[in-house]
Amino acid sequence: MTDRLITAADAGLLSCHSCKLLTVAQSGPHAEQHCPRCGSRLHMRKPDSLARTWALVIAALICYIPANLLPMMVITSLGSMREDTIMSGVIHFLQHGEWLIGLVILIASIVIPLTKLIILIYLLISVQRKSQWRPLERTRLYRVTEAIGRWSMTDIYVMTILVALVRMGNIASVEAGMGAIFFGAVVVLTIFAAMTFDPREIWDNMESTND
Amino acid sequence: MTDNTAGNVPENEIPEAAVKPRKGISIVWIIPIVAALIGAWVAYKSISEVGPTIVITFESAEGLVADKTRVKYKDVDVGLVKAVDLEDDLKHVEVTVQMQKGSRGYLTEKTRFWVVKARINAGTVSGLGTLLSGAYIAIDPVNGGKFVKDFVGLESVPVVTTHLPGQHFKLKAARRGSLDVGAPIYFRQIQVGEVVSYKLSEDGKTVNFEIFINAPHHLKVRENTRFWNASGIDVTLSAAGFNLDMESAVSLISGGLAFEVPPDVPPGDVAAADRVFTLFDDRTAAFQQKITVRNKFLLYFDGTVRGLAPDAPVEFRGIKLGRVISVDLEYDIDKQEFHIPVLIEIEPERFSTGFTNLTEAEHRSIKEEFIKRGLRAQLKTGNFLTGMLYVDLEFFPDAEVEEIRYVNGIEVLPTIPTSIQEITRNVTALLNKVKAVPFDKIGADMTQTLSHLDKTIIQAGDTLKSIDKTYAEDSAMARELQTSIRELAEAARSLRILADYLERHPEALLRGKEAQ
Repeated sequence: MTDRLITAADAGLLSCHSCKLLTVAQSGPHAEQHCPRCGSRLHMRKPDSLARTWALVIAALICYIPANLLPMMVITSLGSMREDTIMSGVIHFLQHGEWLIGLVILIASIVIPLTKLIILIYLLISVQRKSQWRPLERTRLYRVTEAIGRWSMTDIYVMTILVALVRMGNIASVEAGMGAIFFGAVVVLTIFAAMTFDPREIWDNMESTND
Repeated sequence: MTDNTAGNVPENEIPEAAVKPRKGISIVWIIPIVAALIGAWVAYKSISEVGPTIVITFESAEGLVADKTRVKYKDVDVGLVKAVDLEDDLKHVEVTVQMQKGSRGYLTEKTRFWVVKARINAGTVSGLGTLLSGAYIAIDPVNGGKFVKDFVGLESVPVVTTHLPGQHFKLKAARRGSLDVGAPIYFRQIQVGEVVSYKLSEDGKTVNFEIFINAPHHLKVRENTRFWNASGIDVTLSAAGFNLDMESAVSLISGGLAFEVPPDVPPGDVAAADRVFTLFDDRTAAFQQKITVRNKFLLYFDGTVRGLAPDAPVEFRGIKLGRVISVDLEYDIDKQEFHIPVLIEIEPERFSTGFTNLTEAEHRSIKEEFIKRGLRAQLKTGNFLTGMLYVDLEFFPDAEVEEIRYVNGIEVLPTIPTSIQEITRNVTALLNKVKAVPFDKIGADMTQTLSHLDKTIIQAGDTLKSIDKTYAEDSAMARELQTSIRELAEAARSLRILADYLERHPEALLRGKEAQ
């Protein structure tokens, strides 16, 4: 390969995550190295990246089930109680012709978390299987995952605002359901999972085969 | 970056990282474990909270919404409607309800379901809350029994739920009247219960009511309690004046019942549940003694019976003894006469004493004796406004003697015409007699007599003249008369002197006049 690049890892160097100081890596993969300048930990790659990401992704997957099955919001209006899961809320909005709000919630609350989980799982599997297929696209996918992750929280924000604002006793009141907690957990866990994943692993596979 | 970047950096100028040993497996795996535990707990909780699924059949699904309508008992949610479907035969609606955990115990054969909607009846307004919150299904749970999954929902709200303390009783009535389900039952004008249901008896002859009396008032229902229909207004006109009686304004619209023990009857034991009582038409009827013996009599009237209707009273000296059963018309071909047979019944038990413990033969002899003594039936006007008649029994000792006869085994009680009929008849007879008087002849005789009289008067005038002469002022007779009167006056004066003296000297009667 003509565009073969020498990486810092190849050169036995690593950079500090905090102060970006370049240091020489010590031997032994399972060793804790500290930055001589700022004292923070030094890693060749994010430590245990795959395992941690897997752990978080699995946790997020587990939470995803109750997040969708349990009611997200409990709306009490004029004595009648209405429990809405994410999906029933979306259907409710769509049925009442509120296409925009319905689609926003659909994308933010269902499409984005699911996409993120699928992308992360795909990246994890592909890295573990040392796939060399389209590393650039896969890196892009990772960047997308990182970027859109936080937008899933819109739903939680909308709900918290509603819970705080709509407090009129029996006439109308909104309460957060158990689903909201799980949904929040899904969002947070996927954000962490995306953070712990080290995209450099994608490229490491490319180099290992080149050697 | 170029290939020789690494080579430009002197290796010795780059400090070495410190090495520390790493222990154990990654702590990050706690996160999915915790998530799994929480997930498992939530799953367990939601699964364990799921109770049995039941199906309730209703006539209509009005107000029922899947996933929204709840099943409530005492306003506590015990279930949620999951689906509302039509039955295969399109006649009913099947409502699938997800009940809560622990409801298995009270989903028995006797458990009832009904839809609570806003209802406005004559006396009550209920379920107003459902106007805003939508209808819900109410349950009347009954513990103890076999678990059942299929129910038939009630179409109307049951008046009495199983857990209400009190007692059920049954009433038999000739007709329903204006009583409706939920009609109030009053005891001394306090509402103590409600009509639960009513239906026609199997033979179709009576209406059977089921009523419920709330505790502790059910103890007021005794063996001798009488129930009566208290619907409407009871107007009585008595010597004391005009009396208007009404249990309540509600009973005017939706009907009502009242019960009480008649004042002259011992109350008896507390009535057992489901005891059957007779429902009387009104308080007066309820308080009457129970009549068991009814004797029938036939009356034949000759005149009109206009105004005599079945149920008209039969009275003896103003006291009701019985009633008219029927009024018919008969034609006797042999005699070519019309008869009006009136069938009456007399209740001898209304006599407080005397007729209660007699044998049939004794009864008969008494009746025969009465008829011999002149007991007759007569039509009389009971009400001058409406012209309603009643049958009055009275003794007419000088009535013609009649034989006791029987028609179709029913004794015939002789009648005498109505007073007015009698008067009419007497007046007619009188008029006929008057008509028979020969006024013409009398007139001719009178003229003759008058001419004789004329002569007689002239003679009388002569006689008077002679008398006049005899008694004139200067006649000898007049003179003598004046003298006599004068002497009489003197005698009277001397008598007065004597009386005066005697008054002053009463002793003179014994001793004589004292010397002056």
